[in-house]
Amino acid sequence: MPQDYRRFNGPEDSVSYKRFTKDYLKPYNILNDELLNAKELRQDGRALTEARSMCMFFATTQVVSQAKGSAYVERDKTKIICSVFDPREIPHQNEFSQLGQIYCEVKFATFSCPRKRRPHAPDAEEKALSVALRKALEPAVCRHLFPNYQVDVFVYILEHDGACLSNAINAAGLALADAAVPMYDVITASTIAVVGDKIFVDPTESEEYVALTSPETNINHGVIILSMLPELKQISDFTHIGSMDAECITNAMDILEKECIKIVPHVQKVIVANLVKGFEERKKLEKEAAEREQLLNTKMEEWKKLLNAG
Amino acid sequence: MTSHVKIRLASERVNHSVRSNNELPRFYTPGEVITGMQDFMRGHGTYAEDDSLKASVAGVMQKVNKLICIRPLKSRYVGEIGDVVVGRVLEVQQRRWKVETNSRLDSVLQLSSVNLPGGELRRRSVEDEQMMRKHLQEGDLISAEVQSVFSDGSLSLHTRSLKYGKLGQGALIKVFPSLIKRRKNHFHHLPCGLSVIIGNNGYIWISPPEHNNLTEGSSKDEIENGESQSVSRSDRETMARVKNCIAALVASKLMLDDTSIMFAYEESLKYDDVKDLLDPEAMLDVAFLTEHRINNIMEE
Amino acid sequence: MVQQLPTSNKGGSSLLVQVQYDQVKEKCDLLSKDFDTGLESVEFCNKNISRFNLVGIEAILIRVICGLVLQNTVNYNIYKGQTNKCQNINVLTPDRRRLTFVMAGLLLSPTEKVFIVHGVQDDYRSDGRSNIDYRPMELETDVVSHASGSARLRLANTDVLVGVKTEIDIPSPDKPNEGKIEFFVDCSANATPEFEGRGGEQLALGISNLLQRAYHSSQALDLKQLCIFEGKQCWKLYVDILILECGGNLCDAVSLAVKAALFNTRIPFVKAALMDGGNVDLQLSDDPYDSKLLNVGSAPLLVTLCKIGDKCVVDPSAEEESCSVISVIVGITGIPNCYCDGGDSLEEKEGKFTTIDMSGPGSLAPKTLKNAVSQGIIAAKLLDKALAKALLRERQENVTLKKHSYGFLK
Repeated sequence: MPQDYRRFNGPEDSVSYKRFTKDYLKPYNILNDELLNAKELRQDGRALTEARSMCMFFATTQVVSQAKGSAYVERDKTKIICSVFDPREIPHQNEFSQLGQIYCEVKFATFSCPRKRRPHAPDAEEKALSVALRKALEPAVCRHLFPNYQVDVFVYILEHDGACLSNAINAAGLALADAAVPMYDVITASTIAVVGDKIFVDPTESEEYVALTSPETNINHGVIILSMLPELKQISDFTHIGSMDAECITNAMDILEKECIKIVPHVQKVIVANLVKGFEERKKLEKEAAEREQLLNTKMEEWKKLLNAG
Repeated sequence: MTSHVKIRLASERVNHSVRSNNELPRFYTPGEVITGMQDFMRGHGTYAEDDSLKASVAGVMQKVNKLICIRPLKSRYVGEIGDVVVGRVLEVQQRRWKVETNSRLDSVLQLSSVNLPGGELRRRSVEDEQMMRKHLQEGDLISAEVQSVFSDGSLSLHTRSLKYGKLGQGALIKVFPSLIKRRKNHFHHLPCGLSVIIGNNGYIWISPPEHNNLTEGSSKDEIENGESQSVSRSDRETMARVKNCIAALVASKLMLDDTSIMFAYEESLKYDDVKDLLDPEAMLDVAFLTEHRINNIMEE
Repeated sequence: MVQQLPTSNKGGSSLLVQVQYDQVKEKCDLLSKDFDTGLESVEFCNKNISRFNLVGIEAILIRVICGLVLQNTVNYNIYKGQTNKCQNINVLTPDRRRLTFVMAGLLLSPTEKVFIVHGVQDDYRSDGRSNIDYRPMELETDVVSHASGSARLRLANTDVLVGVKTEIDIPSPDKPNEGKIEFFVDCSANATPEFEGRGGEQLALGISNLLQRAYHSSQALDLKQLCIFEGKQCWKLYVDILILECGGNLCDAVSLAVKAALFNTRIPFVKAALMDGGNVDLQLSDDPYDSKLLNVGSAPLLVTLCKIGDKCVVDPSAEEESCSVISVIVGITGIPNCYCDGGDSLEEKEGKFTTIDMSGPGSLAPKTLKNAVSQGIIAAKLLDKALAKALLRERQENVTLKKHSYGFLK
């Protein structure tokens, strides 16, 4: 590993103090039991099948002013920012490629995760997320329209509280639409976590953690992420970690499909709102320009009169 | 659904060699002196040094009068005028197509050496040049004849006969060119119903029999329909069987021509299921029986 | 109704949609009216066929045409001879040159593709196999003398060598009683010249990620058996996968070889582990045969299901791979009973999915994915049984007669 000299790195074997707290040392079954309360509600008061409401704030210039398109997605404590840059020629490539490429980079902020501090250099998980994001976006973008060019998509996860890949895909889809990159369809994604016979829609980090921990017994567990082109009814990416039987998988697929379609109106609303805003801004500018021109014209006539008089 | 999975161990590996009784020919290795005499001509696979002729590849010697060649088993195809080849169009260029024919350099098919629709020899106009991709596009397979050989060894092809031209549905098998027996005819209609083109360049094309004989006058749509019609199940089975038989013969390094392929096909009929022919034992069995039959005929 | 393939001279970026003329005439007219900016050419070949050569606004048009198709249930044909009915729509562009699990780069003529696609539709492929048949494979274990376990698997032209090295490591604080396993794939330029330099890096990363995910659950491989001293020391398995030759269907071959190598892996017995002032002092046996075998019966196998036309096939040949734009890779746990002698009679447990992934630039319909998944579980079960049989047979051979290593000599 090359040493990173540019920033001060803590000693490599430093550990989070949380490891010594009581919460950390809880055994698996207690963690599992804590996920639901007596009323079958989750820790944050949601029902099992209830996704966190999507409070999206979508902006072109406000979020990242330098980028062509950008989006910010917030789902309770999961906060993701994404920017898309103009197509540019693929660097370091001699062969002509018929299809445009999408370059994705997913990065966790160093302070984003509750359990450990993230390193600056991209680690294996971030690389895997980048690949998954690229695979999810590729079928959605009309790549043949920019041959030999690449579109850069950068995703920064500011705060991680579960379902980060699916929200990264949502954010990237919005940002691509914002950047006016031609797409076949909007793209939406959602996540579920499975523990035994319980299915958590849009899980939080602690729920994901339990789902990914291998239980002692032979029950279903795992996390599934599915991204869709809802209008075309096409699955663009499907990622599954854990262990579950066929029945559970089919069941999960149906739930995920429904969830993905539920998000569509939100996404469309955001895109339309943004368009309307842009349109109004342009109208306002045009109006101002017309006013200015009129002003100029009247001035001009005044001068002409003066000139004629003079 | 039943599936067919077979995992064998390395200790059960099959030796595909079928020729044990025959005397092995003399093999030459690179750098070995073939002859010290002056009055021989230097052919492919040899070079002259210090008044002697030496081999530059590993293989067997071929002598034609005073010309000495060394033929390696795995060489690329070295074209000769009049050879029938099967090739794939790689590129559409100015007034010509680049065709991949398993030779060292890509071959060339000039626009002037194809029969354009409408028959008759006519001057190639600018429109023809613009329509080149309509005629043959990248990826298309063609059968052709070698028209001439350029000084650098690349081939110039022509398709000026009705039997040559674009190939329709079927399967391509690639084998070593040295396994192809040179024959007068390389277009065969096998008794099992299939047509086979055994290209001199080691590309073998198997195609299903044509049920509706398309004539020159048939409209474009009919030809198009023929190209996208589904091949019947029985034809498909025969094709798969012939394909696997050729693979068996190649694995045992037997020479390929219409007789050996047909013999292998007949011998393989004892295996009911075509996919059984993928097993090395069955392949060896088929190859061995074919070799045996060919030897019997030779003795007679 | 199947038709001749696109004859656009624009190369890759056009898209061909065909609809039966008489049924949808008005709508076709409507199309050309509404979207005439993007409609490059509307060409009526004869009475019952209409052709659109579209550039630019495919998305909208496809949506409209899908609507037509769904209403009138006509066949249509989108790009390169994939005849589909209704639901499965591949909104795809041709000619990908990207390196995925499916090796690209093989050029096929449209008619060859039609032949292959129809064969798959017919459940009878060009070499006589059905859609869930594998080609014969060859396996040898214990081929590398310096590794704790090794295996070599050859599937048609794909050749994979796997070596397992065991080392001692400190367990991660989250899982103090579990060992570790790490996968590393090396695509050497030996396999194909495309792997030269950094060429194979993406492919290698993809496969190792996939394996890591497939082995994540304890139901796949119980890492507790690698524990030496809880919280202090554990075994770490380095599974190094070398791709010697690449002839399609890499994932399946790699997973089979990995499982065989793990089956073959011997871990030395620890005679004593002493705590010495916070440090652990291990005493290992000097006898190399004084070792234990791993329990790898439930280790997952990967099955690649390549979507061609409407159906999925396992173990695609290179030609078949180039007819497909998307494949589903499923990782399914093995059947532990098969891996111990005489375990056949015991009741079999159904395999579980440990990972599902998609590879390739395309997308697929939910229904196709479900079908692929259920097809994968059947294939995986048979694959696992065949592997178990081969491995047990080889072990038997080792006991009865002095093992002769065949290695790479043929």
